[in-house]
Amino acid sequence: MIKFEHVGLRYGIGPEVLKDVSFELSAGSFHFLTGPSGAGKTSLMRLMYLGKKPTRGLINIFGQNINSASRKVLTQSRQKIGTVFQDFRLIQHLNAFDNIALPLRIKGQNEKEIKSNVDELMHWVGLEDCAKALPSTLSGGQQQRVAIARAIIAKPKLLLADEPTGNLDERIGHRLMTLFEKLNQMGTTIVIATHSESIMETYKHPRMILSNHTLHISDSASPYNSSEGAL
Amino acid sequence: MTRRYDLPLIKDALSQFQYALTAILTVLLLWAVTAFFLAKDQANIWTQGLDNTLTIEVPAINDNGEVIETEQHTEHKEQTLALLHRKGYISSITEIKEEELKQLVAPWLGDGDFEKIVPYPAFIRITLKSSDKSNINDLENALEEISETIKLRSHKEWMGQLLSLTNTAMLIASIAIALLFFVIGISIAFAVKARMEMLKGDVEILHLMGAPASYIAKQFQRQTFLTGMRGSFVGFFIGFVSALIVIKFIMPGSVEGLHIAYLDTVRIVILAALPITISFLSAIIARVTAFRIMMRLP
Ligand SMILES: Nc1ncnc2c1ncn2[C@@H]1O[C@H](COP(=O)(O)OP(=O)(O)OP(=O)(O)O)[C@@H](O)[C@H]1O
Ligand SMILES: [Mg+2]
Repeated sequence: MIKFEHVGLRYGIGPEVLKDVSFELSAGSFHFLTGPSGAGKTSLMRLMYLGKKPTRGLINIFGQNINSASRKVLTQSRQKIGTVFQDFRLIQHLNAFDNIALPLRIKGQNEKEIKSNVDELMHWVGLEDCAKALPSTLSGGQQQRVAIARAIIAKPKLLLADEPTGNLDERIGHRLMTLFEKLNQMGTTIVIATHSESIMETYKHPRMILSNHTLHISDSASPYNSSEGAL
Repeated sequence: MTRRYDLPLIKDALSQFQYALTAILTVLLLWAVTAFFLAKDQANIWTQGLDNTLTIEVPAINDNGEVIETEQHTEHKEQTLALLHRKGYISSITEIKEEELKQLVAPWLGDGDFEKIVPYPAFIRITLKSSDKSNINDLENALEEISETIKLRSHKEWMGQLLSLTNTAMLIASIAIALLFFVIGISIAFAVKARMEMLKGDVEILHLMGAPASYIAKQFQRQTFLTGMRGSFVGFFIGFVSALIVIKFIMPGSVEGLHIAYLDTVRIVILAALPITISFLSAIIARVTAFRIMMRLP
């Protein structure tokens, strides 16, 4: 699904933020990405959601080498990736409903289906009363849920979430984690960047740990063993 | 409306700028096209009808400046008139009366009896049935047989200068039209560039969600098309009305003999096509510009 080989990334002429990162994630896996602030979690996510090309090394996503992939292939690959940005990046002049509907509109789904899909998901994430609200009128936690809903609405093959539960109270945080677990059980590959020990403790998934600009994977935890407790 | 748009149709300073600029350029464009029509009509008027009109001068002075005997002069005139009446290709013959001539020269010479000193030449204005060159040659030869001093003047000769004037006017109008289209194109391209810069974050999000360049370009295309359409139709209206006012009420009074550009179906279609062309040009340029900018994203 995703394969990084000796990947390095630097911004402009700055130092390498990521050095020699190699790993492979299989389809249907669920990983936490953790590490101290500034370690490069968001930067690694950025490479995975194809928002940046690496300065060195090879990245292979969905069986395509992205260094040599055509624009069309990259566009198609991006449609299979759902991303929750750390800073949400909602479109400010679109209301919650339209923000969530974006990936479906890009795919060209008809408005009737979009309406029922978005309404259902908004209900699920507890935003049923916010459909017409502009992002600027929503709380941080509500905006985060809009961002999450937007990332998962089109049933992506790969879900990348950067601190998706940072602004949420524990009840909603767990509810969303349950949603992620469900998506994962249905086959979505998931990577969640988080600082939260409690989340990583509760949902035992392997951790990708970033430190000193490089990555190692700790496989100690086994998946799916305590998610029921959260419900 | 089935299609929905994700990027805002903002009435910001930028779209107002594009709107105003398009309107102004459309006014200028309309004027340039009208000027072209006017010059073309004027050229037609000058060449039409005059083609077949010739003036024959029977001078009272020979080429060496010596006064021709009155009897001889009268004889030349009589012979010329007789000749003209014989020629079947001449449809009308008008002798310009001596009184008429006196009136014509009075402002310069006063109404003294100057013919005693410098006798008046005789002028005969004729109209040919057609502007056939062989008829003119035939007439020239026949007149030469009567006297070498007799001159056949075609109005086309001195028309040539006026025609080169209208041709220059038409050329300038054409250059202005081309330049205006160019400026319209450039201004739209910059408006789109600036708008994309303003909405950079939104464009990037759409791009990261896998929106193809065409999907994003379409959104800028629509805004630019609508703004271009509003601007060009308002400009068209203002330009049309102002051109009519200038032509109908200001120009004929000040420029004698200048005619009003007439509007036939072809011209109405050409004029009406201007704002439509500008609207679609706006959309196409927006699309191309948006595509070019999108290609810079990873
Ligand atoms: N757009 C950018 N331009 C230049 N430098 C950047 C940019 N984004 C991140 N960096 C640098 O890269 C390093 C890693 O940043 P990154 O945002 O990936 O860290 P992070 O692990 O996500 O941190 P946090 O937990 O605080 O979100 C930092 O030193 C940061 O200064
Ligand atoms: Mg980060």
